[in-house]
Amino acid sequence: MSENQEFKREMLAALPSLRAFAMSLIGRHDRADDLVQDTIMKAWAKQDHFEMGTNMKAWLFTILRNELYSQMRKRGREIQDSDGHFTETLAHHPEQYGSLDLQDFRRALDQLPPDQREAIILVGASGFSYEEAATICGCALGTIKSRVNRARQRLQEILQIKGENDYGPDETSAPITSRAFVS
Amino acid sequence: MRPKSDDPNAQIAAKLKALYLSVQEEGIPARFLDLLEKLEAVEQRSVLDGKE
Repeated sequence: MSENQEFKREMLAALPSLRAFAMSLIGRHDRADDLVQDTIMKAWAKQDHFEMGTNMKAWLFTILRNELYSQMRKRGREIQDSDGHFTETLAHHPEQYGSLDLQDFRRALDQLPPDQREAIILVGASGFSYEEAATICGCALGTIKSRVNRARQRLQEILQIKGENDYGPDETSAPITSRAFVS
Repeated sequence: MRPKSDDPNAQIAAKLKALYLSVQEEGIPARFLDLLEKLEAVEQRSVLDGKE
């Protein structure tokens, strides 16, 4: 097999997880897939920089993450406006998550600061070690650890608070509806 | 060391994984397979051109 085919094969193997990462970060299929597409093109163009035998998944995740933040900087507050993003996610894509439970979790995840969200996803779902996550995010090991801890605490707070209101559908939909009308 | 299932951290970890896996298990959409085919075709053409 040529090095080229090998590269493509390894990339394909990492794609389902790369998509899941993008989707967990962004919360919308269309935007997440656009980001994955941009990542594939970037990675393909940079394939000479990739050393076969090293961690393709971590390499792709790093490219995706850098691409996301550079796009966010370009678009200014469009994506960073988490309130608008939250409303939009709920308004157009509530069916993407099978159970109500996962929809609640998705909403909680959306409320985290981006640095905490990516840290807990990388370590808690993508299967990276703290060291690998620190390399992907370009920060110190201790920083990743504290981000993951803060993310866990925050998610616990959000989900417990929501839990008390679980029995009344109006209590969950009312603030969302009013928020949608305000914006 | 396995956390107990009523441990809030374990619950969060399980939900996060479930959310992640719900996307991961969708597999690879056709648009990405097509994109890779195209990228490969372009590259093969340029390799052939280069050998002339």
